[in-house]
Amino acid sequence: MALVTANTVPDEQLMLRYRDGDAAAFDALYGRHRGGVFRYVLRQVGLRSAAEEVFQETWMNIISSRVRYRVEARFATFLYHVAHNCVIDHFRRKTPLHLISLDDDPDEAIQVAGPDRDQPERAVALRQSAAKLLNALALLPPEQREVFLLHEEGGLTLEEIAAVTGVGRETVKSRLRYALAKLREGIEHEADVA
Amino acid sequence: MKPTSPEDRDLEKMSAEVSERYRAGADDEPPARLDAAVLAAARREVAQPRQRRNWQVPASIAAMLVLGVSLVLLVRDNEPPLPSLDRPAADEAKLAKPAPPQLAMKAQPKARADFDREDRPSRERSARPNREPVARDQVAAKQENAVQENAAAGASAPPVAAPAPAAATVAGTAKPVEQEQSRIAESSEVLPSKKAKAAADAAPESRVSAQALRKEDSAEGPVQPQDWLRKIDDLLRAGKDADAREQLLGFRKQFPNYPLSQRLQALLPLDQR
Repeated sequence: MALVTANTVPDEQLMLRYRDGDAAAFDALYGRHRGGVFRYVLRQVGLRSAAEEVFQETWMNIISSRVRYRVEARFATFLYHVAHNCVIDHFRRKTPLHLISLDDDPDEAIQVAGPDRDQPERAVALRQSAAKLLNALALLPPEQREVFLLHEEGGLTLEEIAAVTGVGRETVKSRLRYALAKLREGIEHEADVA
Repeated sequence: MKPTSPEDRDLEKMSAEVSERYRAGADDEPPARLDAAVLAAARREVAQPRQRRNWQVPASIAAMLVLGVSLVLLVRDNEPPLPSLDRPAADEAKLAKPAPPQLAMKAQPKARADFDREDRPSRERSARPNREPVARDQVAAKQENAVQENAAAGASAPPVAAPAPAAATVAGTAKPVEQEQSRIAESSEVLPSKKAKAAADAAPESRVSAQALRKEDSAEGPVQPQDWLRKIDDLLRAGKDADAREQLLGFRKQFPNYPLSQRLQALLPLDQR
C-alpha cells in the first residue's frame, strides 16, 4: 500500500488536523502506524483473522474518538493504549488465550513469522533467527510479551508502557528484562539444538 | 528509552541485540482490503458531521426563534395595561360633580379596592385585555349620566357633598396604596366638607364609576343618620349654628321622615320640620 507520509509533521499534529476535518492527515497517520499496530495485535492475538478484526476495531476507535482528541501524550501512546484495550476485549470475548507455537500449528506459525520469500544467505539466516525469536516470543507470558511488543513496535518508553498497561515503571522494566532474557535464551537454545 | 543508570544501559544493550533479530522477521502488514476499509471509515467520519450540521444549524435557529417569539407574546400578555391616552384621569376627575355624602364617603374605599384589583395582574384580566377600553367608555357614559342627575338636584344639595371619584379603572400612574390609606384616614376625622375636599384631591388619581358606587351602596347601605345628627350636635355645641343648619338641611333632604329632636327642628324652616 502506497501511503504518502510527511515524516516532518508530528503524529499529534496530524491527528489534530484529522480532528478538524482533514482526511488526508489521517491517511498519513495510518500509513505510519499501520504495520506496528498490526504486528502488535497479531503477536498478541495469534490468529491472523482475529488480528485483523482487532486491528480494525482499534482504528475504528481512533476514528470515532477524533472529535474528543486532545494532545495529552504522544499519539503513539494513545494509539497503543487503544490497541491494548481492544486486545483485552478480544480475550474477554474469546477465552482461553490462544498461543501460537511452531510445534502446535505450523501453518499459524508461518503466518506469524511472515511470508516465505527467497532471500540471500544472510537474510535467510536472519529470518530463521527471527522465526525462532517469534516462536520464543509466543511462549512468553502475556505481560512480558506485551511489554516487549510495545517497546519494539510502538517505540514506547518505559514510562509510556507503564501508562498503557497500567503498572509501574519498575514493573515494566522488570518485565522487559525478563522478556529480553528469555528471547535471547530461546534463540541460543534453538541454535544449540540446530 | 533513555538509559539513565547502568541497569538501564544494560537493558538497552540487550534490547538492541534482540531488536535486530526481531526486525528481520517483522514484516507482517495488514491486507490492502483492511487498509481500504479503515481509510474509507475515516473519510466517512469526516464527512458525516458536515451533513449533520446542515440540518442541525437551521433547526436550532428555528427552535430559538419559536421560543423567543412565544416568550415575547407571553410577557406582553402578562403586562398591566397602560392608561388610555384618549381620556386622561385628570380630565375625568374634572367632569365629576359632587355626589351625595354617603356616596362620597364610600367612594374612596371602593376606589382603593379597584386600585388593588387593577394593580394585581390576574389571569382573568390577561385573558381579556381588549375589552377594557370598551368597558371604560361604558363606565364613563354612565358616569356622565349620573353627573347630570346630580346636577339636577345640585341646587338643593348640601355643601358637604363630596365629588364622586370618576371611573371604574385606576390610572397606571396612581399613587401607592399606602398614600391612599393615609389620606382616607385623615379625611375620616375631619368634617364632611373636608372629606369631600380630600376626595376631590384623590379624584384625579382614582376614577370610580357611578355604577360601582351604586353597587357599593346597595351592598353596604347609606351613612347612619345617628352619626350625622351627632356631628350636627357637635357643631351646635361649638357655636357653629350656620354650619349646623346647613348640615341639617342636607340631612333632611336625605332623610325626610327621620324624627328630629325639638332643638334640631327649631333650626329647620317650617315647611321642612
